[in-house]
Amino acid sequence: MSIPMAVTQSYNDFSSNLHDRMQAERVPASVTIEISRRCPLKCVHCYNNLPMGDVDAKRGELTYSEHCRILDELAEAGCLWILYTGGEIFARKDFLDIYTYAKKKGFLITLFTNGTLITPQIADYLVEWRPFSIEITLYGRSRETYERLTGIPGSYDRCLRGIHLLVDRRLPLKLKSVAISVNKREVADMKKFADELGVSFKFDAMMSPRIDCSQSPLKVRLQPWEIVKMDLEDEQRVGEWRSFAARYNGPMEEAGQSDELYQCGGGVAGFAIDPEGRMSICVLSHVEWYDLRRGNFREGWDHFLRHVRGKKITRITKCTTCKIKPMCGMCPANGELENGDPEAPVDFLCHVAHLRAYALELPIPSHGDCQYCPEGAEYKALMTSMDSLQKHGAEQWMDFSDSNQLLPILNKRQKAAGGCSSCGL
Amino acid sequence: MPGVGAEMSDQHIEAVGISAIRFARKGEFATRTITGEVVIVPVRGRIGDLDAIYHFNDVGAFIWNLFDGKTSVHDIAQAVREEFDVTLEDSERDTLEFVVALESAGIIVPSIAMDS
Repeated sequence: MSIPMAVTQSYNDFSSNLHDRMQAERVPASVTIEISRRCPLKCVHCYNNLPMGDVDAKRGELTYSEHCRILDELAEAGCLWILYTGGEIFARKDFLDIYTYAKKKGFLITLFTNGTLITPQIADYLVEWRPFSIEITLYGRSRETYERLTGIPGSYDRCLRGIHLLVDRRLPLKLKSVAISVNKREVADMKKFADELGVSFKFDAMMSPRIDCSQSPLKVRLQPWEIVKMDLEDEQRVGEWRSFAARYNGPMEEAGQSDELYQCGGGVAGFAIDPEGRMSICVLSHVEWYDLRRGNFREGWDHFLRHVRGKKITRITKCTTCKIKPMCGMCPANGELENGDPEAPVDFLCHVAHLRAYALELPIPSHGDCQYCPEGAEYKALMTSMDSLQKHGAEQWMDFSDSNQLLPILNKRQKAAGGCSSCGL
Repeated sequence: MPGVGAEMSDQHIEAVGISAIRFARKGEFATRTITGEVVIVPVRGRIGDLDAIYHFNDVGAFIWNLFDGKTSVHDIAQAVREEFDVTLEDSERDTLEFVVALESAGIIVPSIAMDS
């Protein structure tokens, strides 16, 4: 007789299998914990940052002992993955104390940082207490662009120092960026830099309003055609969108049938805790929260978040029956931030989703009264975006590969099948 | 463990030498129980990237706790036999395979050789 006792799996297999089981049992698998909203940078696009010297922000942050108590409760509930983010995590002098406590509890920890506050001492400490992953956001490849975005002279050199401190110690570093109007032409160079360092790179072009309701980040958000242009210039990204669409874009009779407001993993396996200890369904959603200073995690998870996650839609919108929703990224948090209403469609996201589908020649089954479909009020704007995409198609922003060969699909617009049943462009 | 029966004879021979060895965990690990399985998570020490992860059933978790640098493989097998009501042959074979797997992965290391 043999006694099966150990299973070794690749991390990805382990993670996928465990997430499936945890989601099925509604075990709180992963949490995003915002350590502080304070940050030494003043990035123009940020949804969240406050000055380092913001006394009220600092005073409101959970204490070390409160963090430890919450970590105890999370471990007890079965949580395994923690993402620590900010603001800037190292804005708190005692962050490594909190981190070490979490490490000792056996969490798999990812750190998001801008890297500018990383010292040799911090890097050495992380070698000893190794995180699962560290992601540094690089805002530009040139000093001029980086500091135009961050608003802080000297920050570029400090970021690069942080990156090299981690690379030199072979820590599990990944680089990433945002793509906004300020740095869009340097994304390719940032990718090249990451390649030279031997670390992975990704970028995100979808900006949100600030959680304090300011719309300021939207001023530097790329135009829809610019976002799709960046998709098209990245062969891997194109492949991922096509694959994603093949898996999830509706058939007509199935898509949009759920009456649940939240379609994501929030409140089922994931959740967020802000610097003041308020637990919510995700980092972007702050309309409803549970105060972990006044109650314990188990109560918040079992009752408050279960209630939030179980909310139903109250009305039919174009999102309800949309067949290209996976191309979009619309979620209740986006609705809250842009429109003050979790169910209100975000016009910008709708524009990008339709443009992306057209550009990739993906079918767009008819989905009711949609402004971006033929006969819709915004259809002309969509076609203007297609023209911009075509006009600027030859400009190489990204140069990720020889993927510019993908751009000629834009020259076949009249054959762009799909498009709201029969767009007949 | 399933699917490795053909290797047992060689390992059993090897066990004559290994069974007297004590093993200790390399670095510091936390033990988490998630949806009924025991997962070991690296905490401290210059261990490599987490490209593979180990999770155990209750037998594996029982043995894992005995990699304390004090308990020999032979004694672990005895403890497994008593705890889980299996034959000594089974417990020795499976304990040894467990030891070999974890030592190969570099997460346990021989501690102090005992008098055989």
